[in-house]
Amino acid sequence: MEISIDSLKQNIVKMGMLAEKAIQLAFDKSAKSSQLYEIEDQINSFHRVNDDLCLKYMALKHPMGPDLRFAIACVKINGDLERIGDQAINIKRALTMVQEAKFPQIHTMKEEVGRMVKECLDSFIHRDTKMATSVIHNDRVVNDLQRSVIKMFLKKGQKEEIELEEGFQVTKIAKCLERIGDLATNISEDVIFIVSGSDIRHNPEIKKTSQIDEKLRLIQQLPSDQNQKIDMENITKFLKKTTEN
Amino acid sequence: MMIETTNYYRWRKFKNRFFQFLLIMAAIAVLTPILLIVQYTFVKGAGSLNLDFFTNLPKPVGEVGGGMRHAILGTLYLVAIGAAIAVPIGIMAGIYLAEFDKKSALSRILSFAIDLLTGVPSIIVGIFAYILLVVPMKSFNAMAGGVALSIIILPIVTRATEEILKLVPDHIREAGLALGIPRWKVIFMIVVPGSFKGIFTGVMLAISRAAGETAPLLFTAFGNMYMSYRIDQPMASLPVQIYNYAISPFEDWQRQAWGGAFVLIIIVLGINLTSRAIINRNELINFFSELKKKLNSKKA
Amino acid sequence: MEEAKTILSTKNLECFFGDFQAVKGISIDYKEKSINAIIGPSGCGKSTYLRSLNRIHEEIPGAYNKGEVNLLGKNIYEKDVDPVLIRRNIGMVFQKPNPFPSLSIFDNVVIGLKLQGVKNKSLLQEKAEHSLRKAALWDEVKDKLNKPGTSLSGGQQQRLCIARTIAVDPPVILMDEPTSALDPIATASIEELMMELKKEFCVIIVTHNMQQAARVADNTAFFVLGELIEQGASEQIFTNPKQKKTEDYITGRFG
Repeated sequence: MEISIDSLKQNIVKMGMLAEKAIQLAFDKSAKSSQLYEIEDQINSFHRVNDDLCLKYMALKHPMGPDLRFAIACVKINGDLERIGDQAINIKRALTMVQEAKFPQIHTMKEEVGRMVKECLDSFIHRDTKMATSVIHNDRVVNDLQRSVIKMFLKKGQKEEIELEEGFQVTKIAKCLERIGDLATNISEDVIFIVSGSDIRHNPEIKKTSQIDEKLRLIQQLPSDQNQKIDMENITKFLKKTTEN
Repeated sequence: MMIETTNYYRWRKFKNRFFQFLLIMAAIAVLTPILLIVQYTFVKGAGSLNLDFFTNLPKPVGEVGGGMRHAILGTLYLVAIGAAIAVPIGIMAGIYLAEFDKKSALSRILSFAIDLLTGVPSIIVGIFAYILLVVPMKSFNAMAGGVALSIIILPIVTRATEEILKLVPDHIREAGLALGIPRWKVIFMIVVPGSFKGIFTGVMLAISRAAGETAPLLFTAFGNMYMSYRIDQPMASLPVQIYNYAISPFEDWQRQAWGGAFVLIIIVLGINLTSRAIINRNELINFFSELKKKLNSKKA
Repeated sequence: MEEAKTILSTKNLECFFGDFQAVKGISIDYKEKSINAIIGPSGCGKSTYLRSLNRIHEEIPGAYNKGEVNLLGKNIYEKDVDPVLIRRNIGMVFQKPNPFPSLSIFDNVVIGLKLQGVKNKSLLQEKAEHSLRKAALWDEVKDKLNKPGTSLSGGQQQRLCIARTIAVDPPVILMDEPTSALDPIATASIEELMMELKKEFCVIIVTHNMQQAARVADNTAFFVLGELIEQGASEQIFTNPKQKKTEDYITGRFG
């Protein structure tokens, strides 16, 4: 395999596509576990190959400036993608004991997180810092969704409206999805580092925007026993309505 | 990729060997004249060399025991005058050509003049010294001879100095300048001392050449049958003395001429070899100590 | 922490070879006790610029400079300034190690002092030992100070040249590609020496080896065709350069 920036990039992109596939298979009830494990094997193999390739690239090509930043970021993104694969496996296992239709928040989280993963990889491919920034901002939404799932579980569990075992697995799935969201955020932060050279991690100021705050406020307002899909589209329409008035 | 056939390889080897042979023949051809000359003059002249030859002045024809003492000393004297004039000037001129702006008008004119001077026939040099010094002084004199020889020595020393100094890489000079050493000190205390061997060799070559010149001395120092140390009187020199004796009809004188020729060759060769020995004394010392070691180890 | 003093600074320094302008208006400040590198593709004027800092450039017939070079505040290009005195304060080490031929190791080290007029033998001895120690050469040559300077290996010869330069105590030392004629091990020993020298001297080094600049220099300046494109702390230049041309050069896509 050629030791160059291009081959590093290609490998990360392929690994990213496998991670997306893994998440998709995790939620696909018709897919067998063995399919998912096969994807996981491929992800793990990429994990080793990519780290090795980065090491060789840095030793032999002495990259400077942006190339050096890219190589270091690839090592980190490599690790994050591998962990996404692990989370997919965890989700698959937990999902066997859950009837997803009963828990619309999971569906919402799945959509949000799925989009974040896609966008963080797109931002990597196209060096798009705007897209990367929007992924980072969106992490708050996912975090809040996860908190609401736990609240729901505690409330309904007390009232014995749901089976404890199933509810517990649901919180596990929410936790896994939240972790995937964090990993996609990490990848986006690395993309910003590659393109601009700035390290924006652990900076709470950057993560705020008014739009997100608005989104969160609306999510918190919705009644938790609503058997309704918390759909981003609905919220956007709602936003539009309120601003029109 | 073709693999060479053995035939082509053999043909190439032969060409190499043949060319090498030609070069060796050329080297031998160059060596031959000097060996023949030395051998011939030795054969013809060594017999005439006896104590009388070196200590006596010429005796009238027919008398035994004439010598060339005056001519030997005269040659040394005249060459010393010539060197005393030409060597300092020549070295300074050589330094100027090597160290200062090579594109300046003075540099170019000087360089051209030196080349011309090397090509002036030595008889013309003699005539020039005649007009310059013999005519005003109304007699042949040693000074004129010395000046004539200095004109012969000058361009050789200048060129040699210039070429040797040009061999010193520029960054040596820059290193000297970079230490905050003024340029004249860089030249005289770093560059020139470092090239001393080469300059010395150039000077020795020029001197040994001058020692053998006959034509410029013909109408300057002219020659003298008696010993003279005065610069305003004619002086004998080996080449002129040899010439005079050689064209004479007397067999004794002709025999002495051969002796003189042999002595002259020894002097010239001697200057050359001695100067080399002095310069390479370290290598000589090493060579002899190695030789000693080898002989000792063979004994043991 | 005290702000480091600026010891040498150029202001719009321009360098000419006759009609040809090799360096166009460069202004850089150099602080004491630091190593500053100049990198750039061949023919970009870095050596010419360096040689203008100690006024060696003008020794080439037809070459001259415009602009200012201020050593501790005084402009060395002012009319009444003697270049010889300047060069005693700004030393230079060259690409090819050049110990003076026919001089012994000891004589090589002290020649700068001797030709300035220092005659005191014990002072010369002391200075020689001091400089050779600083150049990390003392232990290797203390028993053979009378041997010719040219009897040493390449790396040792270069260290001898450095000892010779620092014997006259210049506050600034210029180095024009000091290791390009040396093998990797000798190069490493010279770089180690530079890190030691930095504790006392301001070192300005021209190098075509980017990695060397990255290894040893605190600050790096990047020249192209006689112009200063960018300069700053090496850690910034080599991780996040601000100019595209700099970026292209350090990633190897140009020059």
